[in-house]
Order: sequence, then structure tokens, then C-alpha cells
Amino acid sequence: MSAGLQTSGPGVDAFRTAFRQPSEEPLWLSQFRLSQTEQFSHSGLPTTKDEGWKYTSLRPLARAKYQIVEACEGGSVSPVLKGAAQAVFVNGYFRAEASDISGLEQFLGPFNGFLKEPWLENLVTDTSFKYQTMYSLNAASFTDGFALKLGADQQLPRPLELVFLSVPGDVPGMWHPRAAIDLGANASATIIERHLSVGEGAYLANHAADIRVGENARLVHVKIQDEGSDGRHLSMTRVKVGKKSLYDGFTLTLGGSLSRSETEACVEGVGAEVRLNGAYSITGKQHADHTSRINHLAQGTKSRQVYAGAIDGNGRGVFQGHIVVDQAAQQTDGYQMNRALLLSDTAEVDSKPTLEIYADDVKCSHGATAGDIDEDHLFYLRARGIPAPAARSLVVRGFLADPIENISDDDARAAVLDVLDAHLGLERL
Amino acid sequence: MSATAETIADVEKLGDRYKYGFVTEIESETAPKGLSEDVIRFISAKKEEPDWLLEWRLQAYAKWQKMTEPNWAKLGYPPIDYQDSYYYSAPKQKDAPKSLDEVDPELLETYAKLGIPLKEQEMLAGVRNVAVDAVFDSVSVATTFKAKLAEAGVIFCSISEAVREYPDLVRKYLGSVVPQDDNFFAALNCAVYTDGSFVYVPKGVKCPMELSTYFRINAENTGQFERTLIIADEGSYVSYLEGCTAPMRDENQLHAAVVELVAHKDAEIKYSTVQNWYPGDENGKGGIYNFVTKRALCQGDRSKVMWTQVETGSAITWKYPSCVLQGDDSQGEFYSVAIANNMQQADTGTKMIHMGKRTRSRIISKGISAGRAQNSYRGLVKMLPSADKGRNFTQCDSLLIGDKCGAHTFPYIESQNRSARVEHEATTSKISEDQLFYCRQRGIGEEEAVALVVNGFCREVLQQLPMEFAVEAQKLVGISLEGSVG
Repeated sequence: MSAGLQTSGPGVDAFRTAFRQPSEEPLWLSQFRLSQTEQFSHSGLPTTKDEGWKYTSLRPLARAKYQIVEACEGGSVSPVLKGAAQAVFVNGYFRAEASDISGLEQFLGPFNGFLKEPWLENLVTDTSFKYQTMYSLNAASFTDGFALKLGADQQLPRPLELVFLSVPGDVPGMWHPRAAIDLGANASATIIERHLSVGEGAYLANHAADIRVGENARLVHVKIQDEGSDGRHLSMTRVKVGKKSLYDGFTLTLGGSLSRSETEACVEGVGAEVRLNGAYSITGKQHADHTSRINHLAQGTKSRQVYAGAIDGNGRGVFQGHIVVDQAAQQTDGYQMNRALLLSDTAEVDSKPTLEIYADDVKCSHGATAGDIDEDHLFYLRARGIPAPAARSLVVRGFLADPIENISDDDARAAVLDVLDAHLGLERL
Repeated sequence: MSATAETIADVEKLGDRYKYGFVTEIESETAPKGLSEDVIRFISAKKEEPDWLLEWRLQAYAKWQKMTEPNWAKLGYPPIDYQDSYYYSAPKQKDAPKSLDEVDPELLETYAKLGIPLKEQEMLAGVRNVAVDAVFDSVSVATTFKAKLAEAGVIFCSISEAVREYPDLVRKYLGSVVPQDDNFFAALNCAVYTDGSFVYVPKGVKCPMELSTYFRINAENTGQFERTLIIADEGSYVSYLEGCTAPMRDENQLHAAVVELVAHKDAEIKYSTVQNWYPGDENGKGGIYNFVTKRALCQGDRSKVMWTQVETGSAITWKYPSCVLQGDDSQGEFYSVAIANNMQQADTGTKMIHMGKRTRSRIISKGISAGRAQNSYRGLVKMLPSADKGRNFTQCDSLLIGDKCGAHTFPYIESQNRSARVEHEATTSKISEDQLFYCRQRGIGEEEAVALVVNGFCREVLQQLPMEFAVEAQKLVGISLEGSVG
């Protein structure tokens, strides 16, 4: 904890023990941590009075008394993507012995090992993004993570699967894994993040990632979150995309008691495209929040966001998508859509697709729908002899498959569908 | 009170750009500047109000003092000094007028300039039945067609008169839809409102004519805080139109109104607004700050409320006409055209709260931004767990004219009922070059072409207005966009 902090926002005390002391880290990082620590200490945990957190309360976090844990052992996980390299993290710490990253010199981990890389400072300390409180908490507290650096014209030889395994212990633990990904001009890569947990118990995983996609480069970034029912999962991804590049992001949310996947993208290269798609299937008391902010800053940029969710039990789905079109970003083409299926009488969905537009020559649209399963669809399947529960699962699958179809990497798309089918108890069709 | 030379010069300079920007020289009676319990007592005493109403005002004032001005809207304006305004201004008159003939001729002339010749309308009663309750600054000056309405059993009068004549009705409904402490501006209105309209349509009566109120802010540094209360009893129908204008002045004037509608079983209320308050000049000097709380309670089964608004005026617009759909099968509709040009800022939309079973709502919003204006749609659609088979459809379209303005959309869609269906869609685009080219090719001037295209864009909303007003609104669309091209 740094000295001289005058103010203290709500819930800050619960996290003080997590703040890292400047140690053997490079000066820029110590300074970065200090400024982020101060910012977090000042603002504290967001409340539902903060517009960006209107539908998601973090109040339980302040009461949970999470503690920072030491590195621990952890088992291996079979990959969802054949032939993929696999990097395994247990409770936020990189486990080299459980990973298979042979021949993948672009992968740099653990985080501490390469903090002196000059490009990293530039990427991490980028100030073009909006202040985000949980990102600051991660910056103040992270102990490990990874970096991925692709030089110009490089292609990742195999897709990379990142497995974030949470192994809760007797006391509630917290980890703040950090990622930095930098793709040079014309580079391309496919990354699948999997978030899993082993055993029962409460924990908080608070991820942060800084990503830069260079000119004409292409990054497919798929995230599958299937954590345990006591897990709280928060993530903040900040993406910057260059001229004519593509960032293709996808999130599948199935697990966690409380989850929020947030992405902010600065589309600053002419002709660049950002896709943020997602599907979620939740039940019980699960709360799944998908929040995005896309800043169109250059001419001829494009963004696509399609989310579909199936909410059962007492689940609550939240979608907040914000598109900002700067005055300079003429010929912007922006689209966002959130469709939700409410499968029970106590399910709830809250959508807030917003547009903030300062350029006139634009084409932006958004939509949102909420409702029950279409009885006609069920009837069609039942008439063909399919039992009711399977018919329901099939309709849900069809509904959720819509955004999944947008994933531009064939193998990644197939992997996501496999996971979804397993979750819904369906064989691959 | 006198018109300043500067204002006159401005008027001359601007020509007919804001054709309602004239000041009428009428002696008026004002309360001391600022806001205090004493001012509220003064207003209440002037209006010879009963004790309960004074108590109610003071209660609201106490609540208001503890509240803070909301800042969530996408609006930017310097802090308002609530002590730097007059809260009561009434045209001075020796005795209350008994008929239109006794009304100050200068006042009648003002209305004639505004395009609502009361006399003519009375004469033409057989042709066109529109009853007008004109509110000049804060006092309702004359109400026409009273006799005819009385025959049908419809009460249409100023709210001050209603307090005197029908205290039980007023007491029962005042604040029942918008509570005193609903929001900062509503609380302020409760404390200092000076006049407004009151309508009661009895059971089973279809109001024989359109009811209309014309609001006009005249005196300098006065705020207008009108209060409207409309009650449609079981099975009744009423269509109500309000129009608003204000003279051109350099300083900003505050307008904080509250409108409450109650629709009982099988009743229908159609509420249309053409808001053309002075928007300020091209550089954002002057103009009305318009903070309005409008809410309808569809209390009875199968009741229906329809809000239609054409918002072209005001420097600042903060307005969200809403429907609380409490009765089963009740319906709420919201049709809106909001035009912001030059330095205008508008943050407007609606709220549809679905409570009853099979409640339906429909939102059609058209926003047009030009000049350096910022125009935002902000709306909430909420399906409560009780809203079985509720249904909403929302369509928000924004049109941008020029690259220095902004168009924003902030919808909130909350559904807690699986059988309810909610659909929202929104688009934002530039005014079509092709359409403009097509018009230009046929010899239509540039400004006229823009007006034509924009009118087409707004048609879905404008056609919901009563016909005469639809024609006027179309003209207004053209006038509001003058100077936005070229």
C-alpha cells in the first residue's frame, strides 16, 4: 500500500493487501502501478449508481475478504483445439510444466520474465482508454500473466490455447492475471482463452488485457468462460486496431456466479474492423454481463457486435454496448444487437445498446429483443418426434449459434460449438 | 417591464427566423425575485389557494431543497441560479375577464400573431371545434368553448380555477402520477407552479372537440411552471394539444412543467405537443431551458394513452413523456420528432413501464440534428414480472445534417417476464444525398429540399397529430432547419 493516499473509495480496504509494492520491477511499471493504485483507491469499487455498472453490483466483492494466494500446482486440461499450443495458468500463475508451448517463441511467460521488453511499456501505459476501475485494481495487484509478441508479417505457427484454471482453497482467493498482446503489421494469430475451475469454493478472477493489432494484421480472440458456480469472473480487455486490421473477438459465457466481460476498442486505423460477438447460457442465480465500448476514431471503420443469450432459473443477463463515432470517423459502419431468450418466469435481461455519434456520414444501427422461445419452433420439432427437453435445447442451440457463426476462424468456431453442445447436452450435429 | 433595444435589434437582424420572437408590452405583476417559503406563500395567497395546497407546496419545497439537480442527461449548460428568477408573473388586470371581449386587446393580438386567433375560432366554432385555454406567463387568461364543453359534462379550465371549483378532484389526483419528490424539477414545479390546465372527462363521454392550450413565456427573467392534470374517467376519450412559444431574449429562461394524465378503464387520452420555445440564437445565446416531467397512468383495464410531440424549440430540452401501464390490456404510445439546430441540445425520449397483463407499447422516435446541436434519445422499456404477454416495439431513427452536430441513442431495455416480447431497433444516418439531388434536379431550392426530405423522415410521427396541427408542424420543421445547409 502506498503512503499518502488521502481518499478511499467504497470497498478499497478489502483489496489493500493485494496492492503490490514496487520491487524489482522496472521503473515505468512501478510508476504505472502507483498511479493505478491511487486511482483505484480514490474511486473504489463501482456502485450501481455508476452508469456503466447500473445492472451489475460489485457490492458482494467488498464483503468477500478475498486474499492473494501463492503459486500452486495444478492439473492439465485436454485442449479443445487440435494441434493448439497450450499455456496453463493456475490461480493466475503461469505453470510452465503443465503447458505445451514448444516452438512458440512468440509466447512470453511468466510475465515477470520479460517486463524489460521496450514495447511492453508502450502498450501497457497507453492513455487513450477511458478509466476503468477494475482494470486499475488489476494493474495495482497483478502478480503474473503472459505476453504475446508477433513481429511484422509473422503468423502464429499454431493456434494458442490459454487455460486459466481456478483452484479455490479454504479461504476465498483472488487473482489478477494480466495479458499483453502485440501483433505487428500483417501478422496473424488465433487465440482461445478458456476459463475453468476445479472443485468448489469462492474466488475472484480479475483479468486485464492490453492488445494492439498492427496495420493489416488479424487477431481472432475467442474466450470461453465455464467456471464454477462460486466463481466471480471479471475481465477488461483493451484493444487498439490499426489500419485495415481486424480484431475478431468472441465470448462464450456459461459459468461463474457473477461474470462481466468488458471490452473497449479504439478503432484508430483507417478501414479497420472490430467484431465483438458473444453467446451466453446461464441459469440458477448466475449473472452474466457483457459490456463493450467501441471508439471509432478513423475513417471507413467498421464494427459488428451480435450477442445472443439464453437465461433460465433466476439468471440475469446484461448487455451494454456503446458505440462512439468521432467527428473524424466519417463512413463508419456500426452495428450491435442483443437477443435474449427468457426461459423461466424469474429470468431477467437488461439491454442498453447505445450510440454516440459526432460524424454525419455514418451508417449505425442497433437492436435488442427479449422474449420466450417461439412455440412454433418447438412444435415443429415435436411434430417430428423429438422429445420436449431435446427440442428446447435444439432451439436454444440454434439461437445461440447465430453469433458463433460470425467467428472467422473455422477451427475456433467448431470448438466453441462443441463446448456449447456439451453444455446443452447435445451431440454435435 | 419593457423590451430591451437589444432584443428589438436582434429581432430585426434575424428577420423572420424565429417569427414568435416578439415581446408584448403588458403590465404584469410579479413576485419578488428568488425562491423562498415567502415567495411560495405569496403565490399561494395570490391564487387564493386553500391551506392544504399551500402545505403541499411547502412540503415539496422542503423536499426540493434536499435534492440535487440531475446531471445524467447529455446536456451541457452553466449552473442555474434558482434565486435569480421570478417565480410569479401575471398580466395585470383590474377584474377577471368574463368573456373574451374583456381580455386585454394587446394580449389577443399576441395570440393572433402566434396564429391562434381565439375570436376567430369562436366564430368558426361550427367549422372547427377547438377549445383553447391560453396560458400567458403563468395565468390562464381565457378559456373558450366552456359552455359547449359544459354541456357534455367536460371540465376544461385553468388548474387554479379547478382548485376553487373542484377541490376534491384536484386533491385526489394532484401528485398521484408524478409524486412531489419524483425528481428535482418536478419538486420545484410542485412548490412554485402558477397555473396550467385541468381537464376532467366524465364516464362514457367522448369529448366533443379537441382541447388546446397555448403556453407563452412573456416577461423577462420569469420561469414558467405550469401544471397540467387530465383525468379521463371510464370509457371516455379526449384529445389535447399544447403549443409553446416564447419571445426572443438574450438571457435563458427556465421552464419546468409537470403534466399528469390518468386514464381509467376503457378511457383514451391523446396528448399532442408542439414545442417551439425560443431556441436561442446561432451562437447559443438565450433560449429556454425546458425541463419537463410528463407521465401518464393507464390505471384502468384497456385504457390507452398516446403521446405525440414535435420538439423544435428550446435551448435545452429535458423531457421524457412516460406511460405507466398498470391496467390489463392497457396501451401506451409515444411518437416524437425532435429537431435540434444551431446550438440546441435535446435529451428526450420516453419510459414505458409495463405492469399489467397483455400491456402494449409502441415508440417511434425521429431525431434530427443540424448545425452544432446535440440530440439524444433516451428511453426505458421495462417489463415487470407481472406483465404477462406484454409487448413493446421501439423504433428510433436519427438523421444528421452537417458534420458538427451529434446524434445519440440511449435505450434501456429491461425484461423480467418470459412471455413478454420486447423489440428495439435504431438507426443513425446522414440525410440522403440522392434524395436531395432528386429534389434539386426538379428545381427545388436546397433548404426546401432538406425540409421536404426531413418531413418525409418524420411523416410517421407527424401524421399522428390532429390534422391542422400536422400542417403547422410540417411548416415548423422547415423553419427550424433554416440555415442548416449551405
